[in-house]
Amino acid sequence: MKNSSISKFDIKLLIAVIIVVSFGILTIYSAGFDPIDKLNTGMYKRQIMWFVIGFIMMIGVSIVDYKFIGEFAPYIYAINLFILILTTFFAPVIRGSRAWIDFGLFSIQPSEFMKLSTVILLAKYIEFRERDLHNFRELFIPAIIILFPVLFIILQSDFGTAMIFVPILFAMLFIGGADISHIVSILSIAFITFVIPLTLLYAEDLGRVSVISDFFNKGMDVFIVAGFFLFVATLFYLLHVFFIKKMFRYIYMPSFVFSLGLIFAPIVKRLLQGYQKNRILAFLKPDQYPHDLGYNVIQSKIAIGSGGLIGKGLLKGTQTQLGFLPETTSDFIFSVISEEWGFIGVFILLMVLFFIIFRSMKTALDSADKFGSLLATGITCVYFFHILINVGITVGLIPVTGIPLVFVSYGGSNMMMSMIGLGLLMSIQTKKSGF
Amino acid sequence: MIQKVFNRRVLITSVIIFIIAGLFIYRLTELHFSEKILLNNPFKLINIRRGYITDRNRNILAISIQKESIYANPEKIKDPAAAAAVIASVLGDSEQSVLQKLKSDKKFVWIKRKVDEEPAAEIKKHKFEGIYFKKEFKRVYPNISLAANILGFTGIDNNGLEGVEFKMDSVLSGFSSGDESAFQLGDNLVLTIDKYIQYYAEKYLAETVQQYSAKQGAVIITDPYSGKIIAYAKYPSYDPNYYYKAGRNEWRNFAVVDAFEPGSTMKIFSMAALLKSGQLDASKKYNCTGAVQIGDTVINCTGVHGSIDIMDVIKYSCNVGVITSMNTVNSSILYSTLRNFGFGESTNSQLPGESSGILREVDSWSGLSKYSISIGQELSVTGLQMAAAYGAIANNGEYIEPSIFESIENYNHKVIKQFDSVSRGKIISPEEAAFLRKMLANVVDGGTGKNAASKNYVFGGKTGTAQKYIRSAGSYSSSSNVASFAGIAPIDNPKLVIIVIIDEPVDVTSGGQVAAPLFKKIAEKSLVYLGESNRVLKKLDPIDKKPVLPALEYKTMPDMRGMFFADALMILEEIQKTRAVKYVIDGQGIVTSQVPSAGTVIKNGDKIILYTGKDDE
Repeated sequence: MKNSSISKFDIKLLIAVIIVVSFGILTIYSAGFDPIDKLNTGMYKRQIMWFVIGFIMMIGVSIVDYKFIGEFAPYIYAINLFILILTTFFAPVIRGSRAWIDFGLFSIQPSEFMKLSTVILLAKYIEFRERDLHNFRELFIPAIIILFPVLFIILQSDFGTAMIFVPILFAMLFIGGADISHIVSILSIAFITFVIPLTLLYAEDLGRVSVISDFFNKGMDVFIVAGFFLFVATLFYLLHVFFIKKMFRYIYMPSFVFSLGLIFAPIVKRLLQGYQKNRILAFLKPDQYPHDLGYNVIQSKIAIGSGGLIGKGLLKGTQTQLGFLPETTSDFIFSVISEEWGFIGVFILLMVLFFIIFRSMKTALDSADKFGSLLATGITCVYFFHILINVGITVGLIPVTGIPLVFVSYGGSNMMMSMIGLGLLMSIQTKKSGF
Repeated sequence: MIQKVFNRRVLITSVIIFIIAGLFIYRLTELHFSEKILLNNPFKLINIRRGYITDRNRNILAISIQKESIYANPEKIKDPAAAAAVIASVLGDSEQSVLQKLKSDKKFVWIKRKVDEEPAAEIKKHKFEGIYFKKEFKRVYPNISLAANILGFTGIDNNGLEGVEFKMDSVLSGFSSGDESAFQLGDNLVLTIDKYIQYYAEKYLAETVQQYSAKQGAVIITDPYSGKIIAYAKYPSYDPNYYYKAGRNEWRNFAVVDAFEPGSTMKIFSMAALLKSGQLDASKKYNCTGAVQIGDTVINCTGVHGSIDIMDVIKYSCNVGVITSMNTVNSSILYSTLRNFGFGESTNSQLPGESSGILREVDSWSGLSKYSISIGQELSVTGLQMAAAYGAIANNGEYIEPSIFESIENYNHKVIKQFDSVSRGKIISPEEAAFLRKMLANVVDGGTGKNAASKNYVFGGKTGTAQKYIRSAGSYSSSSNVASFAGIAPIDNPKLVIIVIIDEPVDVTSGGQVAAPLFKKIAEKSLVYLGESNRVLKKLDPIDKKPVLPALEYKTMPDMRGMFFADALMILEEIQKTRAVKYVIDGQGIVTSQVPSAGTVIKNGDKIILYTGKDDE
């Protein structure tokens, strides 16, 4: 029996985080610099302060046994959710959303911390129901766990933050041992539901109106076809209940997926009107909306492209310094780094970020107990999906929503959340043989 | 068992993450070295004849001219050294750099884009294998820096990057039907500005900024009845043909993009608020002892004015008088009056990056705010907002949003969209506007604006000398000022609103000394050009009515080869404005040769012939 030992803690992970944070601070310094007045907005100083506070929190959390924290998972979740709901209804509107609690000198965004609270509860739940997770009905409670935060964060008009919970849930269920066919089915339904309307929208915008788009746009034909598949699915499901046979499963599962997809797709298609539709078209063809909806992505791509191999140098990025690029310290910080540090700079940054992901993942593999593994997995997911979505947006692979780049973007709440997550990872690393 | 499942799934996830990381790197490589995406397939590049931009009299400000671009497939070049030697000597480039390109391991490399026809023909003669040519349009600004701050510029792929070029990119590179086989025809844009007034505004502004060693300066001239921007000069300027040689300081339209604390030019709007409250008493005397105390703050006046009436308060720009008069005005009335005059929100001029300025909501005003704002402090405005607000005074109380776009024409000069003036309605009554104009006339007639007084016209306006608020120091600067003058010319029959802003003049720093004389110079020149009859007050020498336009006419033949014939027609018509010439355009398409050749002096009676070729690819 070894005692918890400090030597187990992953110094490489911490160094990687410090490198990435430094990247962020330098970039915030550069983006906040006004070349005419030779003045800086001073945001970088605040970011340094947030990092220091985050660091102290990380140490504080890492000393506490994560299993002890796990015992309180429902309470942490409930309290955080309560604060989130209060914020949703009573906080002042800042930059178009009611997401911040204003303390005068600084403000806190409860939805950031909700990511961690949710992950802790999900990890606890999956550990608790581990052996039954392959049953489809066991997936409902995890869905409800994320439903509440997602709902209220959408009410705060912060679509980006709300959406990040969904892939985190799927990834945790997958790693936690849910039946792959269930996950694939749900993803397939989602895929059909969204890809059909997008393809049609794109084709219609090009003026290609075909029989297929009429099928989805007008009348009840599509629902009749969907009803037929639903009937087949139900029939074979009932057969499966009475005479268990793998063959039936192979028929009713795809039929279900297909019929639900066919029901949702035209609904989504018909709901996508006006602004939402334009947003999607702007994502598919940003060059046609260069001044409004496509502006951010185009400017971001120009910034990235103009960086070249070695970049224009700190404070030298014209896209950034001349104000072409929006949100240079948060959502589009990656483009600033690309412009000023070039391909080499972002390559190194991405490598270090993915190094952080793999070290976190390793923590999950090395953990002594299931809860530790799942918690580490969840934190990894939080980090990973931030990187995936943020970088995906900046390089034009994902439609624009506001998501910060963990450890890099400006923002106190996100920084504290990420550092507390790191503290939990350290706790899992050091306490693994502590009992 | 379950641990095994877990480990396996972590492995699968790791592989997926690896793939995504790889995808990102791939995408970044693509973006960072984006030349490759374009260059692998050069003929996918659509050749767009970007529409021209003219002033309101259809004088060309920006035009597209077809040039030759040279590219190579290094794999097919047999003797790179020999080819490099010839190409470098013809193009005047370094042999080393050309050779490097010809030896690269890409399948496509640009050697030089948009070169003139002669050197391209010279290289063609050698028939090098692996060297190819492609016609591309180049954006040219024939008037060099004239109106550069309005026009902006385009990048190498003819995409608008700044100014109107940026704002109207989709129009200029648009989809008018035309001869699509060779190139696409964008629509043409007509601006509201007048090239000649713009020219003189820029010229006189440059002189003033240099004379007072100021940091920068701007002049905005609008037509108060339509809101059309007739000129918007800015110094320092730049040559958009070589925009990359200039920097942010030159590109930045500070009078639109940056807001500044206006100072005394705001006082006339405080008078509007006073009128609105029904508290303006022409006979009331205000006693100025050189300073006034509000709470525990002392606000100094520009001098000791003694006992004066409200007319003289504005005439001598007396802070104490304005502040004292505000005692009878409700904060919310001052606020709503300023909002009605367009402060605190964008004027919707369509100029890119327009600032809204800052006018705080009345709830967040301190006890001092009403008084500070009444003398033009604690708020920030743009030059454009000033022009529109003074425009409302000139236009009998009706506020018209300033605009820069006159119309859009298709490639064949047919108007396809006319931009109409947008009115925000009467914000003060015609009588109130007339009273304010009287106040402004008074300022120029022996008041702080006396340097704006003309022998030939009656002008009105208000001076402003605002100390700059220094962010780092947290206080007003004692040395750096913004000197401004906002005026109406002529005040008895308003034709133009002219806003002059001189940022940080050295030594002589007041608006009355620095900005007012510039206003007068530009106003007189513009009115004479517009043919406004001068109302001679005192019998003095009449000034020359015929405009002298040294840099504004074609004295010699321009090189018109490479122009789309309909664009060349515009230039020919422009030449006809100053020279009695005849012209013939032989055919349609791109001009390939001309008589007389470029550089020949144009004389009355000359005949110009343009030939077009059909072999544009």
